[in-house]
Amino acid sequence: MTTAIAPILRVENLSIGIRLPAGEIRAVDDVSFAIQPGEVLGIVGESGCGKSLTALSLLGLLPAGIQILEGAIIFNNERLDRLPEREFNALRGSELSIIFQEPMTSFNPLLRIGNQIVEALLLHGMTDRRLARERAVEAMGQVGLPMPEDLLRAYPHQLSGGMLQRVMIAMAVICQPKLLIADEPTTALDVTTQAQILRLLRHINQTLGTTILFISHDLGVINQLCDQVLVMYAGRLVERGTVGNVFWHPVHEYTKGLIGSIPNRKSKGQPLANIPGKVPTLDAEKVGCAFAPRCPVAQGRCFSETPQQLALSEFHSVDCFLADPESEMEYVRI
Amino acid sequence: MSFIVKRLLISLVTLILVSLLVFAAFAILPGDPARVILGQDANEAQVAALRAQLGLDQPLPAQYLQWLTGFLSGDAGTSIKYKLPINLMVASYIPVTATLAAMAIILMLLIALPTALLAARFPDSWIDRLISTLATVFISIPGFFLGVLLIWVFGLGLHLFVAGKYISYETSIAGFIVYLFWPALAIAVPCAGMACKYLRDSLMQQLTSDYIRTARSKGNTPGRVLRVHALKNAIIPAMTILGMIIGDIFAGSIIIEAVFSVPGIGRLLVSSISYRDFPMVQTLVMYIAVVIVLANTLVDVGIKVIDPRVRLQ
Repeated sequence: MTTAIAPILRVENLSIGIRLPAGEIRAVDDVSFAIQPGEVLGIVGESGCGKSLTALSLLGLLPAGIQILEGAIIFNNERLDRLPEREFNALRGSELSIIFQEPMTSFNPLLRIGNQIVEALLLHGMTDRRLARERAVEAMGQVGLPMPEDLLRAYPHQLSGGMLQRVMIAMAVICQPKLLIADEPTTALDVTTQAQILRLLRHINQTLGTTILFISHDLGVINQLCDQVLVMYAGRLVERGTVGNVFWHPVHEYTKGLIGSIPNRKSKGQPLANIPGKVPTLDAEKVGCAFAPRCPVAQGRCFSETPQQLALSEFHSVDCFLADPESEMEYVRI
Repeated sequence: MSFIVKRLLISLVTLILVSLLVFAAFAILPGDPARVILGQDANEAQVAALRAQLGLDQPLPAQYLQWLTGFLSGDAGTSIKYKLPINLMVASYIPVTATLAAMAIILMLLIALPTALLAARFPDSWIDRLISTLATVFISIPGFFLGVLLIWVFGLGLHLFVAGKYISYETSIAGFIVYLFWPALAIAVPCAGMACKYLRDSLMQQLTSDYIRTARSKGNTPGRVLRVHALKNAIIPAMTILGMIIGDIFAGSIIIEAVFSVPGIGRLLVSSISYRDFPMVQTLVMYIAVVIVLANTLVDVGIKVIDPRVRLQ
């Protein structure tokens, strides 16, 4: 091992979309990032900005017709984007796993919870069903599910959304994956349950050392959980940095808008701030900064040229013409 | 539990309606059975005597009640043609038709399940298109034509079986089964075409579900996802059609028995109709109706048993 820790996952110039005879439609465009082992990386952005496609591409589970157009995904020194399906399948559920947004629909309604939890173990080499069951009980204990023995015999419809999401987490971590992808895991849950699930993910990260890629549209949630954050807009990364940098010193107008949209005590009684306009459609012509039409401070060149990544500090960079590279103070990484 | 009770009550009402229809059909049919039986040469007194013997001189509601109570108490009367107790005759013909239908159902599943899984595994591929085309072709072919085709190609052409050489189950069980294979195939293939199409579409529908994505993310291969996760879910909507197909199988066996000269309920029914053996026909139609209604009830109850979301209510 070298002194610098090798990232567990490196995504380089990743573009995802549909290839048509007339050309490409890109839903994710030139995205690059890396996650260090043990880190929690957040991706934040509005619905339809390409977060979930990015997550699914890491598992090789892009919907039919949508493909990786360009770029590389390197996990543990392996090119996932070129991995044969059989070898990829061996990684899914064992080294790489995912928690989905909708716990209510993400379980097979006809199979008992227990069978669905042990499935990953049995698929990845465990042959002793009794041992698998013991591991399942153990994993359910880890995610704070009461009476795991009874739950193993239950069917998904008998459990609440919060419980199902815990089961999903137990299912995802049972093979002790190196990377856990959480795709909006709390969006379908109420606020109290959301906080419990976030605490649980934090706990898993700290006790098991699982690296987590956390996807959310809620920067407030990202702030509670993540070390690093990527801000995504219309398929491109527009700002990246430590949560401290991005959350407390946002530079991109989109990030500022997202932070402004988080309700807080000071803004009590006032209408909730929002970002006017909506995410451009995928087939919209891409000239200039994608956010320019919604940007309150956009200037002429924002509409004609695409901004490039500008480093503000070692831990913070932004894709914006209007950012002042000198403005950034040195922040201590939290 | 209350579901099963409710479902059984509905079945009972259905059967009563069927019995009324069966009875009414013979009551409004032109021609006097007594006259047909005795022939044109019989005099009025002879016909009147036979009418009285058959109970045809009584009012229709009384005739209906008499027939229904007879059917329910296990005494369906005497066959006009064979002069034998109907129940005794039915009992000797039923094993043949029941075996034929059971074999047809098994063959149908053996054909429909793998082809539907294969088509859903490679959607829009050449194999999917081939299966879909073949299914449409076989749905369109009438069963009796397929039967004739089987006799011609495999019986007369390839000499794989001797057409019309029936082997009784009392003589040889194995010979009986082998003999019934070809007629069962003729019944099964059109039904399999329909079942395959339904199951394939149902599987495709399931494959878009969230839980399939979860299953894939755990390391299930596409084939295993299909067999273990999608199939059970896809069978629930497909089972409703299975109930109807079972009806088709019984209807098909009536014609196919005639084509292959299998001595079953179907052939008995056809010969009884032409002889105007109306007590026999009424009883046979009722038996077939009971089987079909029962099959559909079982399918409906089966769906509830498979699906835990409904089972526990």
